[in-house]
Amino acid sequence: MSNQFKTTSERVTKIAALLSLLLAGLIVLSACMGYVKIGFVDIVRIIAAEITGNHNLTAHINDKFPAIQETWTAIVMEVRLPRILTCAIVGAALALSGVIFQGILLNPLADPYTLGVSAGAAFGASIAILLNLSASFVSIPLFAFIGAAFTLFFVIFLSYSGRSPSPALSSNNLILSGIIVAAILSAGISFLKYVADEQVAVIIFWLMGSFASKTWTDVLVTITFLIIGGAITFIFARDLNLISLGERSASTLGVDTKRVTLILLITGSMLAAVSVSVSGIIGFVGLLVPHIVRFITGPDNRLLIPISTLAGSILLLMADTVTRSILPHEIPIGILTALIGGPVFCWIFKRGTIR
Amino acid sequence: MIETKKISFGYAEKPVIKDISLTFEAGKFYSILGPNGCGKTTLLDLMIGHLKPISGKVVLKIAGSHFITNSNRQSIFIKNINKKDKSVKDTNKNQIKCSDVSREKDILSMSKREVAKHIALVAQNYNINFPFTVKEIVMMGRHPYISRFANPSKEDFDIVSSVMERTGTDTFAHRKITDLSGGERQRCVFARALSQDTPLLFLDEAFSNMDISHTITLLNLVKKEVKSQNRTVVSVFHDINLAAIWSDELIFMKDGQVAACGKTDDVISEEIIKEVFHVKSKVEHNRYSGVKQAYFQGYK
Repeated sequence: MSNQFKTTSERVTKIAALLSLLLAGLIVLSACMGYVKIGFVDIVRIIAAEITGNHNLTAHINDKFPAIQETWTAIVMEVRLPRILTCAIVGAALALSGVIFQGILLNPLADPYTLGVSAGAAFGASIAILLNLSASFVSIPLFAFIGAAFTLFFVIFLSYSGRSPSPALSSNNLILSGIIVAAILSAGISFLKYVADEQVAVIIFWLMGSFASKTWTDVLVTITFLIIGGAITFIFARDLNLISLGERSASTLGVDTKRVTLILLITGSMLAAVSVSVSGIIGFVGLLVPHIVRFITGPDNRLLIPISTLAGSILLLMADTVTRSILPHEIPIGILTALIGGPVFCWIFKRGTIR
Repeated sequence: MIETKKISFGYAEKPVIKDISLTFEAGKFYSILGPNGCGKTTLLDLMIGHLKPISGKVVLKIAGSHFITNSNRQSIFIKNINKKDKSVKDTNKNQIKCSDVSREKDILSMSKREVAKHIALVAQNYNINFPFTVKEIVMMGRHPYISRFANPSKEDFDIVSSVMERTGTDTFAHRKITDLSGGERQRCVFARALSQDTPLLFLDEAFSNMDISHTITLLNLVKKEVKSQNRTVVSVFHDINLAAIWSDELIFMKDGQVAACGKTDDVISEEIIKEVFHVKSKVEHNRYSGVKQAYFQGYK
């Protein structure tokens, strides 16, 4: 097995390197595309100039590489890159969150929204929109995040219910609590939509998810959460393997299941919450990516975590690029992922290879 | 050695375990028998620290350096594998010398990892949703010994392959656990518990889905370790006759209490089976098994 394990981890390193390259290429390619077409080389020059601070790179080099217009630099640096990077980071965060939830809930069908985090975020955002707080630009994401966090803690509180036959924080309790809370919140959202009057369109559009007009602040916030979340998840990766076999087994094999479950639950939910708050509700990434990746890496979370994170970011960025610059009209990314992800999931399900 | 001191569990109106005090000594195979819902599994859960008793406590007696220095244990273990029975006497001597120094510990005061180095459990529920390979599953038994960022050592691999060979799980080592039959899965989970290499082994209906040949193989395997390495096995059984053949002592449970316990041949009787299970039987010494067996009457 020593050898077998080694080759698996070598293979995964290779896949990870390949996916990183693919992601980097996709980021540049995606920055080329849009209303103004900018060449691949020019994008590389603009990015290199910004990173190194050497603005000669964007100046006239020779006839083959003429000077790059100021507006192009502005488009790439202020409009496209923040959006592209936010999208890639959110994709990674959703996939990572999916891996965590599938492990904790012992259920390959769980996703970041199983515990009602998305409903909580949507409720928070709807309140912010209804109260017309959107004038100050942070308030909607902030309210969404607060809504998600409150939901999470309420779900955890519920799943500690005293007389339930299954122990606190068991997957059954969590899933049930999540469904109950999400049902209440969706009713709440419907009510808010009903009273929202003219604002109803804003709420509906927000719920569909979009990466339009993201800023460097969004990039910074999401990447901070992703790095912290990724580190915590990786630390507990082996414990998560055991937890995915069931609480009692994990506990007898020396995992402090309550503590680890709680830590991972909060980590996964925070990743989902921050994703929802910057970009609205984007389904299927967190459900589908870990599934597809498990075909390649197997169920071992030490391999599944890094590869899923990369794959999630690539897939969501591809979807966003399609909706932003290939389709004649931009459609909300949440709709696109559901329209593509749904049928793919049906196909996997029918093949009987749900893992 | 593990001891329950007047433990109770459940709610006031519905007690599950009532005031049970039992001592499980090293070098003995115990079986717990009783009807469905009499609290057998709960008792095991309390003893492993998975549930917290509402009164009383569970005490683990850690016998000297034998159990503390794990590398020492492993080397004894591996020596036994290599030399088979030759080193058994040495090991026993070693244990007697060490057992003078013993410490008592409340199971709830120990970390999960520490408990996992002392008690392994083969649980009733062995449903696994994720397609780990059999070898990966068995390697998980080494979890308490591997530090967070380390990879399994050569010793871990040696123990795993030796356990897999002895449990016959090596024949499907690279298959996915989700593709196996119930009995095969149960053998994997059994192998995982053995690879934990603990002085105490709890079996919760561990043979319920296994064919008779594997049941006998595994029972002989653990019985041998009980005798040669002074381990303790506590097994929940439904089959009274299998329990009688392999157990040194039997514990009959009824309604969360101990109905009878003691040496197998002393305890097993027509009266106790009638009292606990409400069935008529005939208990006789069987020359082939070498122990008393219970016989039942069918429909006529």
